[in-house]
Amino acid sequence: MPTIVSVDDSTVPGEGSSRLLLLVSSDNKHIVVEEDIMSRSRFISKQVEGFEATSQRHAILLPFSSFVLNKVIEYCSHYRGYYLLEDDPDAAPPGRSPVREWDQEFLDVDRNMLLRIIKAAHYLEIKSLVGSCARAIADMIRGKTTEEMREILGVENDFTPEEEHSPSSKCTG
Amino acid sequence: MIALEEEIRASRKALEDEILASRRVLTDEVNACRRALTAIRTRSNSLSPAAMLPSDILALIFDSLALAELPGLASHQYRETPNAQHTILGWITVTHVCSRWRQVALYIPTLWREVTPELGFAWFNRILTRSQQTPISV
Repeated sequence: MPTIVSVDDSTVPGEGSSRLLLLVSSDNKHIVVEEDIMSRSRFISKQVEGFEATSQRHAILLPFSSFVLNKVIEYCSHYRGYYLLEDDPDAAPPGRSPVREWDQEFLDVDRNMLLRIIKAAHYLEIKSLVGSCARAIADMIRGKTTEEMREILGVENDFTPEEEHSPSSKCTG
Repeated sequence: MIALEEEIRASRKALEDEILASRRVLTDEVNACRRALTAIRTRSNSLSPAAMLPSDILALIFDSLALAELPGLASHQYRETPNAQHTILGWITVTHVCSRWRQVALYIPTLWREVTPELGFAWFNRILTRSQQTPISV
């Protein structure tokens, strides 16, 4: 669960139609963003509903860096007002449709950044972004050997010698 | 003369036993080193963002890969000199990357929804078991 802190009204401008949210990253950067932009995040939407119940304004503390948070905000800003099928709660699991052209360019980042974005999107419950990241990662390792997959994603072979050689082991499936 | 021959035989036997015992000790040491290396690699994976992705994210990645790379079919178009095992297994290759990926993939029945005849009878049974109650297509 996120930590929620009370926010002074002067910290968060924006009375009126376009409400503003204060998001605080793990590196303690304060980022003000329009609520409308972040409505794609089910997590944020649920937090906002909670604020409305208490009639208080809050900051939302998030467990990832401002660099990652800004990338997520960039994604949400790009698709502001768009209906994306993957974000529908009844839609099929994300990651099955091809990555949109804009998403491909947006996700043209190094491996670690891609992994950070997918974890942030998962935390924020942005299904469409999780799906695009999952597809991008799948594309990175598609057609690769076991060794190549390990190298691409920085994973070690940690099977025991027994697992390597038993009849029901990875060697046979 | 006979006594000498017996003595030599006994010495040889003792020497052979000693070598055998030393070999056992060395084999045990090698196995201990291998186990230690596995433990170190597991610890290293616990710091690897990819190895430690939440299970449901890994499930989505594997699901996406399973759609794109059916066992027995998909690899040819991506590799100039495909490795035989890899070519046959397609997406199932992810189960050989590390123990956590394998654990996640083996316990998601919906991933095992496709059976490719080229994989043979043993694989048919294996996939049937792993798919549990999920309808499969052949």
